[in-house]
Amino acid sequence: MKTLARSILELVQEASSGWNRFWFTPQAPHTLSLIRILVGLMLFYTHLVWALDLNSFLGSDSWVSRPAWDAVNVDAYVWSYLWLVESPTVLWMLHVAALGVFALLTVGYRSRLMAVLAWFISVNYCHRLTGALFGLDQINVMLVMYLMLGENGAAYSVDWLRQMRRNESPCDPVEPTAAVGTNIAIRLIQIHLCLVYFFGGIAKMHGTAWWDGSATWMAVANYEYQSLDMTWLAHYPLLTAFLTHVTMLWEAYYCFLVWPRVTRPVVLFVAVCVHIGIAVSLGMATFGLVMLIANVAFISPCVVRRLVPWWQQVDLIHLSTPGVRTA
Amino acid sequence: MNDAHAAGWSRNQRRLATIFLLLHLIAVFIAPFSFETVMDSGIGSPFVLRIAEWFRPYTQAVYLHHGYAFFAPDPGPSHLLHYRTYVSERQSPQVGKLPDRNSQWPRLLYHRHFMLSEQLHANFVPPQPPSRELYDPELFPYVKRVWSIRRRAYEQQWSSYQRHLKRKYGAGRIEMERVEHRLIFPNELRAGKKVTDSDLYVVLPENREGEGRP
Repeated sequence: MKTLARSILELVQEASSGWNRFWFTPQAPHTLSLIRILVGLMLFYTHLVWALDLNSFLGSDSWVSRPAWDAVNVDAYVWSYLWLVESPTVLWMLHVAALGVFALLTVGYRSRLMAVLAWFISVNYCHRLTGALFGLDQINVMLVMYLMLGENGAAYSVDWLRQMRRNESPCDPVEPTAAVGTNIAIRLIQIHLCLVYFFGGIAKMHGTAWWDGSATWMAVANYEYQSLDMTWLAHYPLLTAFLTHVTMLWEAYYCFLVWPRVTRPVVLFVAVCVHIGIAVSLGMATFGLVMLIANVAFISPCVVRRLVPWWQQVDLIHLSTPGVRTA
Repeated sequence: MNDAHAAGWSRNQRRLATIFLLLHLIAVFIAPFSFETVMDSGIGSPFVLRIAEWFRPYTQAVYLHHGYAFFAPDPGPSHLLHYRTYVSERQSPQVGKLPDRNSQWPRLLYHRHFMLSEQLHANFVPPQPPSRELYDPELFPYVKRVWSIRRRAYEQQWSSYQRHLKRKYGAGRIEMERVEHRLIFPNELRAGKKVTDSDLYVVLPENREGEGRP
């Protein structure tokens, strides 16, 4: 009995230790900072496109009026400050301010504050724009929400450069510091992305076309999605079926295979192929890209630092306070 | 907890964070799970839906209440909206459609319009209420309520699109119709048919024969 109790206690201790290692190990900020730049650019572009027909989507004569919005969102816990705006001038001012926030998030100026503002703005736009949204918006909001939790401006940012300027010893570059919050943000992106793929795969398993191998054909034969004519696949049914099965199985098993070091590169390589395929042939470049941005969370900060080393090349002498010289 | 890896945060900080993390993870799991359990009738697993309901204020407020069913369960046909705007009855109408790759550019703007027409179709339920005989008497009030909510949403959305088009074109009258663009079969394509052949576009009826269902 004592042995059993001791075993259970050891198991609990191991689980607790594993939990703490997984969530509370400080992580260098390079991966999260790279995600910040990419998400900032995506949010900027997404909202820039709204500006091309702002009144039709957000104005008083928009496609979705307030009564229609209320009817679609009955009993829903949603609200948007954009419903308070009636004047087109004020709407434009708010929209330009939103674009400004996304630009500042991208360059990493007061990054934490900008992440909070960007998240708040994105959620409000999504709540207001019922009916015109798709997967891109879901992943945009997911990513910017987790950016708020970590030190997203600790590398590749104006914040970091400003910190360098304040540094008393400019010849000794300050390494961006690892933080627990950064790790939590990355872990949440990873787990959330796993759930997105898992339920995407499960949902496909409800269908028949993903089993009989015709789903890829059905996607590429859809003219409204088509941005690259892939209908030549009609002559290659074996290839079409193969792509269908790989997509469904990869999606459903992503959450299991992305964690082991051995299978991770393979899983991420398939992710790149699938999402570039969606971006190029199914007319959803933004959705394909934002999914790839989310996948960046599985690249370790060390690798990102090696791949994106521009911060090391910053001329610290010119960034230092005037009059300070180095030997 | 003496784990050296967790040295950054105190034990209490970690405990508090653990509670929030667990709650958040349950929320992000239960939202798509609840979508998977719901059938066409609107009825789903009472267990999952009950838990999802507890978390719904959070998941909806922060825009995490999604099913992530991209191209699922099966990739289907597209649903377009064709419209004719009449500035005056004596003039011939101006025609337009959602989406329109000639006038809606860049691609993301086109896709926004595509989603508007798809969403309208997704909300469609026939004007006839569901038939009482087809459902368990206990469940019928719920099924009827779901139909009622969806029908009202559809009608409001339809009116809203009409209103928008009237204002945009200064039109006195608008005619709209939902159009399904049927997918072409591989053998049809091999036989020389094109994905844009006119017989692949089918105007959908606003009234469906027989009793409506949600």
